[in-house]
Amino acid sequence: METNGKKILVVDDEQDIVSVISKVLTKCGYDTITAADGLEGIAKAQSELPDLILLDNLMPNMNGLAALEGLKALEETKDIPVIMVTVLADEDNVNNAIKNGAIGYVIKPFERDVLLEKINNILECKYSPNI
Amino acid sequence: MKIGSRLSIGFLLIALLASAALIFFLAICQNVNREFKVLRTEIISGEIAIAEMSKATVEVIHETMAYVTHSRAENKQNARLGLEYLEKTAAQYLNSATDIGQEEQKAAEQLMVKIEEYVSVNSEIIRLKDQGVAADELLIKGEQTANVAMESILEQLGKRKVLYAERLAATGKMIGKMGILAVRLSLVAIILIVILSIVVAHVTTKSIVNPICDLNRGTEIIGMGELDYQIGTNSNDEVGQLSHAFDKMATGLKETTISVEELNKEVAERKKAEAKIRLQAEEWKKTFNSIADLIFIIDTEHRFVKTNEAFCKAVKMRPEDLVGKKCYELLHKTKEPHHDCPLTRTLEDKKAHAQEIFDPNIGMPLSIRISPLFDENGRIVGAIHIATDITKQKEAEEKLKETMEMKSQFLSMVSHELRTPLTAIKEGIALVSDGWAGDVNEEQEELLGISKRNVDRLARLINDVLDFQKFEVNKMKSKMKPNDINKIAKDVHQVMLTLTKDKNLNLILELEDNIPEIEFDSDQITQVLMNFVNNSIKFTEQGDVTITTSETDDEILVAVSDTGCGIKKEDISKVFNEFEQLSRKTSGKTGGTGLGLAISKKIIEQHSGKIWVESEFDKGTTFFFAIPKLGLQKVAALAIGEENYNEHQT
Repeated sequence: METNGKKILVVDDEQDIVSVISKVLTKCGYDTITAADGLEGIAKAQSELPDLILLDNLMPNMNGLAALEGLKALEETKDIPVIMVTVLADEDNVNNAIKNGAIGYVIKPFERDVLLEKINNILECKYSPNI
Repeated sequence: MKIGSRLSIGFLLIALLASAALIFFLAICQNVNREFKVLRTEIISGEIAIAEMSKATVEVIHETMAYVTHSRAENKQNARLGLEYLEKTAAQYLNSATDIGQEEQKAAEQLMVKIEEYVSVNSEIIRLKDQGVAADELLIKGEQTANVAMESILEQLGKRKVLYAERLAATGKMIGKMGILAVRLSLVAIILIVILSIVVAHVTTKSIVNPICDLNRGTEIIGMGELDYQIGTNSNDEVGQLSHAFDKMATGLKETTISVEELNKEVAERKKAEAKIRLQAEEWKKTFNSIADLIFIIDTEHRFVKTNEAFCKAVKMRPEDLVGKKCYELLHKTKEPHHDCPLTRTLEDKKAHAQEIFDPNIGMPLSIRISPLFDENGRIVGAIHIATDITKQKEAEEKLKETMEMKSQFLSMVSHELRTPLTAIKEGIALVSDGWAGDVNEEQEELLGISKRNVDRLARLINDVLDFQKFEVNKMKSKMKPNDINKIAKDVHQVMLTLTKDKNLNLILELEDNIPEIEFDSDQITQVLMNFVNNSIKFTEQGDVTITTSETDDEILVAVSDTGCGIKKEDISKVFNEFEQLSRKTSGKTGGTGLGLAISKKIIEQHSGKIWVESEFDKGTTFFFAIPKLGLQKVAALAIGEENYNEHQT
């Protein structure tokens, strides 16, 4: 499968969600790496230095907001754009995330097109699903 | 007549009677005495007269005889004078005899005759002698007449003496009789006087004593309490005046007694009334003190005036210690009234205010209602505070809040927990349906379509539940900005047009021109309008769905009407209830969450607007909402102004 060379880290404790998102991103030509919680996400981000991070909020060990703060606090990861992908739809959470440096906020269940548009805009890639 | 005058008159009368008796007696005595004296004088003078006369007569006779005898010249003159005198004396004698009596007069007349005879004889002798003629014969005759005259005189004299003696005896006898008579008369007079005096005294005393007795009896009767008794003396004297005074006094006393009785009655009534008032006051006090609410009355200087037991108990003070204390010093421990004191507001605007407080001194949450107190002139004199212990209410509220929070947490959790698997399901189906996982045949596509629609529905339901729950916990805020309602209507019209086209319905816009922009949350109002239109489309099989906008003086009105199945009368009230889906029972339609209209209601309420529905079964339905032109805050401020119900915690 062809890739566009962009690497996206998907952080979610739900394996099924990770699988679905990974499938979509892979189909669209992104390299996908995954993590199951905030801690692992930060570790992966440090080691893999992805181009973009899709971050869930409600996770064990470390939630998404904490992980976001951690990522923004670390020199090597602070510039990686983060899109929150979460079920938490209320304003407080959205505002908190944006305040803490998230570049986008997508509410689950998401519309695939909306998510992909945001990713493509950020990574300046034309999404072309490889069907 | 006064007693003094009567007594005086009585005594005077007695004195007069006595004097009269005395005068009478004296008069009799004097009369007797005078009679006696007169008699004596008469007798004496008579005797003297007789003696003198006799002497003179004798002397005259002697002189005359001497002349006759001696014819002396000097005697002749004397004889003449003597004769004249004799005549005179005889006349005198006759006169005096006339006074004495008939017999005497007769004697005097005889004597007169004798003397005249003598005088005429002797006068003849004298004449003859003057002529020188001897008259011896005459002399003899003269001597004879002289003797006769003298004898007659002497006889007369003797007779007179006897007469006088007789008269004297008679007079003495008469005087004696008169004396006895006088004594008898005096006795009778004295007896009469005594009797009269007794009568006078009796009458006098009676006229004095009787009224006194009457008076005495009267006073005794009056003294025994018969104040109606009137002594009724008619007399005008002191006793009369006294008895009048007594009657007057009795009348006065009676009046006084009556007024005293009335006064007593009044006093009794007053006492009764007072007792009643006391009883009422007591009852009121009891009632006042029995009220479980804390009641205290504060004057305009923020001082305690009156407190009930519950309040005293709550602040652990005696009522007498509370009176005069400043309420803020006791309750807030401050030197000044609280800056947000509702009492100050009540004293200023003379209106009732309410507040919920938690006073650490009292140790319980209280709902205080403060009502102004006025005097009879309508001046504010203070305010009555009625504080209700709302511990239980607060607990219940707290519990309700907790329950609501639990409910909302539960809903939130459920929703979020649902969303995660839904995301996987939705995306999985979408990927397959969109052919990302390989070709899909027609039958598979149809089935995947069903799955997709239901997943979307589930997603909407979850979103609605979350939205609704946000309103429930007041977490949904309205972003108030000036917006054009017609633009919103046009947008919704645009979005919904596809849906109506699918069902062959006409979606009509009827917009009033130049509706000014007003403040509202465009997203929320769009949501409401979408809900209305969605609802109408869902229940309308043919005809029109019309969106109408209009404005009144203070509101903007939006209506969505349809030609659908309508709502039964009994169901109209339930339309805006949460999770109420009439469709299931009435039309068998599904597809809604049952929260759309409930959320719409919440949104409109948050905008201080009104939402309602009018419907005729089988004819159609019109949903309305109206939002005020005034900003939300102004409306809220007005609403708060009506009751001033602030919550502040101390």
